Amino acid sequence: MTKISTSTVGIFPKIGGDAPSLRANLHKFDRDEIDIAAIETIIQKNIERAVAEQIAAGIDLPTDGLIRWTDLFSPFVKSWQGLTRRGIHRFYDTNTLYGEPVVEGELVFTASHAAADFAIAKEFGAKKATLPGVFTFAAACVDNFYHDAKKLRSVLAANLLLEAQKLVEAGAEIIEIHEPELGWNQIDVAEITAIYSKFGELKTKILVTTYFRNFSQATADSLLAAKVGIGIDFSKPCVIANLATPLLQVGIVDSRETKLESAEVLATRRAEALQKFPAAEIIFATTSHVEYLPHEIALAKIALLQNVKNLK
Amino acid sequence: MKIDLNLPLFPTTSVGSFPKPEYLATARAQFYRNEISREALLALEEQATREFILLQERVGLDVLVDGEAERGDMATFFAEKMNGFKISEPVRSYGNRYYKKPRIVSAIEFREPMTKHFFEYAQKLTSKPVKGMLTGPYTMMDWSFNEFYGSREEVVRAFAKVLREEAIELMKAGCKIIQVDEPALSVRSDEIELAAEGLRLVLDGLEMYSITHICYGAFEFLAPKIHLLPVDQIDLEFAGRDFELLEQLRGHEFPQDVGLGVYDVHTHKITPQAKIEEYIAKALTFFRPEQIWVDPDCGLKTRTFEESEKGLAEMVAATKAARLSNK
Repeated sequence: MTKISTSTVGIFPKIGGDAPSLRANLHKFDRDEIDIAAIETIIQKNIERAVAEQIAAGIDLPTDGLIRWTDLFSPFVKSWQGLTRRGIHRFYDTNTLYGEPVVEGELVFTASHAAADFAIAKEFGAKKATLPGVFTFAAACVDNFYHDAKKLRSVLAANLLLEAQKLVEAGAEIIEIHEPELGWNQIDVAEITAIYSKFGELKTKILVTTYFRNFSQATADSLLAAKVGIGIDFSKPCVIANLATPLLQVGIVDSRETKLESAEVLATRRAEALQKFPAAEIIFATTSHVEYLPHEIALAKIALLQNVKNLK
Repeated sequence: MKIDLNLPLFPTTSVGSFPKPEYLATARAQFYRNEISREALLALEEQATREFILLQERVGLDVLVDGEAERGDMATFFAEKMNGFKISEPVRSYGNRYYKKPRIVSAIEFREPMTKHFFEYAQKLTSKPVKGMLTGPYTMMDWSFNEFYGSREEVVRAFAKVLREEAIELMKAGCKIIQVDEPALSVRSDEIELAAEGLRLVLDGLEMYSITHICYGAFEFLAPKIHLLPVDQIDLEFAGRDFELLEQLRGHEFPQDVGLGVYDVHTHKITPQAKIEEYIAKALTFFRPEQIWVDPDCGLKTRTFEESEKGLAEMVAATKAARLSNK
């Protein structure tokens, strides 16, 4: 019997809802009109709001919403030694931009901003934490220090593993590692297995998720060999034929289009996923970052996941 | 279409937007609260346009822009003036910046001239040529939610039809240089043929010098196909990544003119004259001198007015020095 639950992916809409406006108050903070304690209170109220909205929509595994994150890399650029940032760059084929991380020296983990925020969100009911994938992070970096792509990935992996351990200590029941790069480009499968095997040994559930484009069969196999769960984007073509994973996340509600999926479309996708991938545990989720949708539509979309879960 | 523009070597220009003065942001908020009339807002938008033109003349640019005082986001502005849309609540683009992403809910149709008024207004203020500025059909498609059409191709063609009507309006108003921006293409090299089709549908046969601006994406994938774009000039951001892009273009065809982004507009630091001279010299290892126009990496709306003026002045000084050494 497959255990079915629901979740969302990545950054949750930062504005909207009942909490004080993060957007307006960040502008005030930039203009020195409010102090750091005031903006911290507003950030935390928005973390609470993001978790509460997921719970109200019936989400079983709410994220912390990544409210403080400006992109997938920003908490680590802020907290690790050796990283700075330069200009902005579009994140894959979206119109959402990230600050390019620049490796200027030895990358040294200092403190986990991600875990600190997760600990706050955990109090409100968050269960799923987020990390950028090693290959996605490396692909985004400008390397002015190691000048060796494999060495950079190895160092990033070591630092992200420390971040993951801090998230486990902060009470994350599941850690989702965002790896669109593994769907976008073909990567050496032995290296994927070697890197993610270490994450697979952590004492919590690990999901390595792609979005925008799906994993190839070889990449999916390399992740299975690492004993981590797999997240796929089921609104896009998926060539994976065999996927004997105990933990699978199926991105079933498209977070890049406002049109609400019909009950028929969702029922078909659900049935296909269950038939094709008989995992012990399946999480139905949004396909990628929820913040790509306007707030009100995001809430309507994530509410659909409850319907998917309850289908017979 | 190549037309004689009678411009100096390395013509200088800017990419489109200028920083909006505080009074305009205040007025726009008042307008949305029904506290001031459309006419009052328009008068302030025209005042800002006059200030933008004066700034550009002060620093000595060769080709000017109206500065986009009346525009918010580059996709939403056009969607609001076409039929077929609902405008969504804001979504984030980066940092603490948001835009209201258009939702296509019915057939896209031309309703009224969208940019002609401010083009004409700006052109009357200067003897220098003013560029007509449109957002391209591919970018309009990619930056809208599609709830109506069956495919991305259909959406591009629908936008192209409407934008061609606008381009004709501009041409009739005396526009000689038109810029049709396609920043979304920077991360979708797999769809460059579709973007090229869209540009062709907008521009084919029109007697204007045509430019497309592309920025902040994966140029390593776009470079091999960039020659397919049917425009006279491709305007690119080079400075933000310290001219890494030049190496990505090297070895590929680039028959068009290039808009050489030499001023990084996403930092408060002004790119200094000496650095810009170095950039132009670097560019000359790949482009012929007559191919090169000089401009900032992108629109200036994220800078302050003072920063913009200083940055453009450095750019113009560097270009004048480069003209002397390339006589």
